[in-house]
Amino acid sequence: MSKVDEIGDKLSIPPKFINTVEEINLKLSDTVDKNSQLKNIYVLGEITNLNETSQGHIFFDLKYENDLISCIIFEFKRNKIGSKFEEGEEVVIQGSIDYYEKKGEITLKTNNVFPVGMGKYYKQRKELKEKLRKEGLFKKTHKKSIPKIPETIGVITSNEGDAIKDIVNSIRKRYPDMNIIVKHSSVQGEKAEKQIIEAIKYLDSKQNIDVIIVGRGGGSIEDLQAFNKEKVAKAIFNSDTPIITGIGHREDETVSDYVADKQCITPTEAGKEAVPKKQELIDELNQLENELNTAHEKFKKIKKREQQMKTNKKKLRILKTLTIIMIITIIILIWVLI
Amino acid sequence: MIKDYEKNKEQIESIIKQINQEKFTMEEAEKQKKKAEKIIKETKQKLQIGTKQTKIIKDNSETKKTISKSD
Repeated sequence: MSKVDEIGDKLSIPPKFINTVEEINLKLSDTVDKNSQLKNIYVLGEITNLNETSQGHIFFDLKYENDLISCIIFEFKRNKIGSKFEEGEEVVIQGSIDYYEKKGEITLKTNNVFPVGMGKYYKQRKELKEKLRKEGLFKKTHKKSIPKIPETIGVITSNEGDAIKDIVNSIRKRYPDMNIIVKHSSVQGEKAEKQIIEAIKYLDSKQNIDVIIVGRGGGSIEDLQAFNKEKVAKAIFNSDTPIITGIGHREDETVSDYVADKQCITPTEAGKEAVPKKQELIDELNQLENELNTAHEKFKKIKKREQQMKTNKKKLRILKTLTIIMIITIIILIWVLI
Repeated sequence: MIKDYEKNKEQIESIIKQINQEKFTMEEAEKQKKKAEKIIKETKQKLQIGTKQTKIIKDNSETKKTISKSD
């Protein structure tokens, strides 16, 4: 008796109605394969979450408003496709829908890519960047210096994401007893823009905060949209407290990064940039203490030697005088005797 | 922020330099050494900032917690 038969008996379900995952996936794969409407199709969307594997395959999502489909370009197709495309670009993909049974995933296998133009979010970011650049918000002369040893660091991020742990841990690793105040803010979605601005104003108004970190983990350009808003960029610019950004991953860039006093590639890096290594500072002071003791000991020895030399000179002078007196005495004695 | 760290370091370095250059009398050197030791001690004390707790502010309510690597 097979396992399905056994379970069917146990649950009183006819075994023919129970599918294994493999069977249902094969049925789905067969349905997709036989549907001609899913073959050699053209799909319009914006490229997002673009990634390349070490084998040379390209994975990305094609997004159109609120809908999304995963796409793949196999390495052997890349030369044929030829055209260059990038994250945020609007394209028409020619390809076929594929159902990968092992993982139960739907993918658009790409045969060709027709660029249409820059995607909505990229266009917005580019325009805002240009506007703020003209207004002078990116000028180095506006950048506030980051204090070498802050006493309190303000952090703006979501208290539910990974970024909070990354920032706090990287600060604590370098400076274990640093004061950290985290102001929770949504970093994605409708509320994010307003909450980030409020959080910046709140922490900036606190007298004891020496530096503020604004951070969140990586994401698509839509996910990072709040950091590409003019009001957020201006709140960063107008903050009297220096601001370090650590938004997304290495490849992500936002308008907020350009305005910030210091831009870091990840939240972890932002934490590192905010504080020195406490142990290194203590080592520096210990080193100075050793140098001070060595210099003082050396000084004492020199002074002692100088003192010794002075005493010796004095003794020598006395000896000289005594010798002269003796010689004179001897001469006088000889003269008297003669 | 700890503003005086660099200034204090410079002051200690200056005292060491002057001792090395034998610019003091024995008595004065002793006095300067004690001054530098005091600065070092105070600077080290200043580096002991706070606690290992992280204050989290959400909806104007504050909570204190220790965020560890295992969190």
